[in-house]
Amino acid sequence: MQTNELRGELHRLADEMEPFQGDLHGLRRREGKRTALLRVAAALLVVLTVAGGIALWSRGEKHVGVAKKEFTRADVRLDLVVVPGTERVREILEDSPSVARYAPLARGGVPVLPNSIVGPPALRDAACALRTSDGFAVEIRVRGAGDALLHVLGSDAKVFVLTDEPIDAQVFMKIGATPAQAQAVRAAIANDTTEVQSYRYLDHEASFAEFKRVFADQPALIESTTPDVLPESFRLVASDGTPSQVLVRRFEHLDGVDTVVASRSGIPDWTALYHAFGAVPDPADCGTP
Amino acid sequence: MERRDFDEFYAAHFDDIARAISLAAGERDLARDATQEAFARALRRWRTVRDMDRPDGWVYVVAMNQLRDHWRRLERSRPSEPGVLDNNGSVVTRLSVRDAIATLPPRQRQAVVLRYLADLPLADVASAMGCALGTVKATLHQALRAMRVELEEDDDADE
Repeated sequence: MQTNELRGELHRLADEMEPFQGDLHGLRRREGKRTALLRVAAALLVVLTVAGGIALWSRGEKHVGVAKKEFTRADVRLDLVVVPGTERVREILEDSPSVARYAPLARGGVPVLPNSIVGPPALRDAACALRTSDGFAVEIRVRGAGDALLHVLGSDAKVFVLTDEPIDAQVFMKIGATPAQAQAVRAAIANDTTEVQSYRYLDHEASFAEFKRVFADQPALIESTTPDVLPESFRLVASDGTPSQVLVRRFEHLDGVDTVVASRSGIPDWTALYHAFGAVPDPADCGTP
Repeated sequence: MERRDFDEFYAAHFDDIARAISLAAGERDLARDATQEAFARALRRWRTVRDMDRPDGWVYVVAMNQLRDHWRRLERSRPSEPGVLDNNGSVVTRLSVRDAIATLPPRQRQAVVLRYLADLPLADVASAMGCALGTVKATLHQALRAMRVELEEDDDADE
């Protein structure tokens, strides 16, 4: 047999097969859904960071009362929400080395994200818990502080972890940023020893790991997301006395940088978060009141 | 316009590509899924793909990559039982081609299907298989020898 005969035989073999029915409609539907989810996924990584600073911004230095770590609400970065707002919880927060600052949160102090949008589950849970109880906004000093607090507080209190590490600003690279651009941004951050106390680099895989952790209860979202659609980023801790906005201005214009989000971003209230989702808060979404 | 473009492309090529991939895969369901996934990826970058010389060639390449990924995930060097091909051929040569191709190692089978059924240029076959041009030629030679097919002088497996 020669190759032209082989060609003919292969074509005949293929022709003898049962036809394959395509599913264009299914493909279009699946791709439409994927596109929508990816848009949400990319937005959420940014929103997660914004949520930490939203409403509780413009760090000041005023202590409240006799407690050393209690500040006004506007002066505390929202890393954790702890309920209930009892004296016992306040004492534990005051004594815990993991806690940098805290502020009382009144009942209903955090509005509830509507169920119709995909939001960080911890934020929704915290908002729902605050519908029936008061609590505290807590700014953490070290990574993993949420677990440490939960251990000390025991079963009487609930801890909602919005952010598990102290971050003053996060530099997000563009999705398609080149390795050289990421390297240049890293060098700029590493060289800025006066304003940056420390930083942590998250590559696509690390962002995806973070994404999976945050959305552990939403397998469909995780299933439809791949590491390559999540941006690389740098998480920055500012040197003492350096406002987050300085870090934003310092790094936002570098090549390959998509956006820099300050944890205390100056966004005045929660409505900004809802604008980001194009939705309005709906208290009915907590399920049982 | 763009949407209709893709829909027509899908309607024109899905069956052909799925059949070829099925010959290479030896598994009908796997072939259908790999082809569908390849078309989904084509849709995502349709503006680029549609301007290529052979948009269908791109889909062959991506579908074949899907097969490779699948086999890699299963950590096996060859697909399961070969010979899941449809129908029974009645002509002796066809039967022997069917048997011969079914017993080829997966890489040789992929190379033969891409080159002689999909009619892809050698460079595209190389890209589909993630290897160098020379490797594709060597793989094709091994496959043809195993199938007792003589390479014609003007065949560009030797180009």
